[in-house]
Amino acid sequence: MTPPTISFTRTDPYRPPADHVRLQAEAPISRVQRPDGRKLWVVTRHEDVRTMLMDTRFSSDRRDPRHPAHMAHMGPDYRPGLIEMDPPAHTALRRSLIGEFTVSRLSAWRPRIQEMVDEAIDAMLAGPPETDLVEALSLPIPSMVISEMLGVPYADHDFFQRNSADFSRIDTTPEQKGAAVANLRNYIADLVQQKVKEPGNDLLSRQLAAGVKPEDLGPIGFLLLIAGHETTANMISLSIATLLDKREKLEAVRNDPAITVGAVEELLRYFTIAEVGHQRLALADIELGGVLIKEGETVFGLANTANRDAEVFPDPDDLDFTRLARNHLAFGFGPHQCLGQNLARLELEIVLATVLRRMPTLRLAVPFDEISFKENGPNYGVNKLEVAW
Amino acid sequence: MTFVVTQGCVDVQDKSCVQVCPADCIYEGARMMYINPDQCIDCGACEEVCPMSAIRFDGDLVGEDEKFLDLNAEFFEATGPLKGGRKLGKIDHDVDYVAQLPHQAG
Repeated sequence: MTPPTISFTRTDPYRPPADHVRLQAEAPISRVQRPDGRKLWVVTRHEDVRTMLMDTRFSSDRRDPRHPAHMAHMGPDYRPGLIEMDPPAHTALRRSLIGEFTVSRLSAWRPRIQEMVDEAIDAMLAGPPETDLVEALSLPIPSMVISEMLGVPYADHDFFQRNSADFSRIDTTPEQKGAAVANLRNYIADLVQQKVKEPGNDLLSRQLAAGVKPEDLGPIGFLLLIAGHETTANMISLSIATLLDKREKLEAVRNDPAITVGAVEELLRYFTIAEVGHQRLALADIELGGVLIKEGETVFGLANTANRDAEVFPDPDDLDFTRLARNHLAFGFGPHQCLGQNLARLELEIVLATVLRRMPTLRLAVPFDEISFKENGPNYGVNKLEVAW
Repeated sequence: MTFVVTQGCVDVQDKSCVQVCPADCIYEGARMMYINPDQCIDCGACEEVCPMSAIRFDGDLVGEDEKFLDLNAEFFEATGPLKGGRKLGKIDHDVDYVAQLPHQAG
């Protein structure tokens, strides 16, 4: 029997793709196919997604040609990034990096991030009172932050942003994406060599000092750049668009800035932008939630529906800034849980609080329904967000 | 390397950490929580949710908190192998150092 074809595209920005929602209600672990004919399992409930993501027999190793995220360039000589690896190789690299991204370590970045956000808003306020927020704020902030953390010279920032955008955008060709990846990988490899010669007070230099090999550090730097850039930008844009659309939510945060942290957490749950979920390859026959998944089959854990699981989040479709639910899966779960989650939270909190405080008349310049949302991409987001003040 | 529960947890035991731990490696002692370093996978989920900021990465431990790296490990020498903290619930035991701390009023 041919499995049903499901769509990974949202029809409503405020809800996960309709097919995902339907499957969660009807058949929470389902054999389906994508529009291009590739077959896969989708896992939709919170508990099952957690179980799956904690079980490393569901492999992340993309060098295996059977892995759903395998790409042609991942040959035997390919050096995988953290998200493309399994234990024990993954474990050692992760341990060397997690210390850079703890809450306590990142708190030292708060003043500098605040400064960057203030400067970006200064620039907006100095120009015409209407702009694309994606270009003016959402993309530059995470890019500048991760660039400084890695020790990338500011002069190379435009190069970074352009290539990262080409890699992430839905309207670029596979050739353009490939070129952008090559540009960034080469750039970071060169940067690592530069840090070998002249160590600085930055993440790459510290990793080298801790014994990480330069050839392993290239893929790590590349991943940190890509993973933290467009994802955070998408959440900034979606969060601000939502607050401008749902004015009562905006007023609630403006009147009580102390709930900004709760608002960020709830917006993360509500949007869960990793639209295609967490992709794994079964390395054995594994029973999950009463279903037998066979060796060699691919499995997608859909965090977006898991985060609307009514058994875990009462009234899951309500955007409730006082919910304070921390067990959402917006950053994944298990050994691959987002390394930069605390940085993303920090950036979102500072951006939202500062925009609300310094731009009291900010409004959408186009109706919410006419915003260009990112559809069919790996992450949900906003292509362009025209705002005025 | 591991995450470590420190003194801020003593007599608090909020347990938000237990709900977010994918490895189910955080155990409830009599007066504080303990992370089993052999089971910790360094995901960092617990540090962020702790309302007392009592969970630290071992590389970030300073001053009085440094001793808690060994104290967390010591707890599991007495318990023997465990399969996860969530179902197990409270273990009516603490390491000596913690058992002898004066009560930390809330």
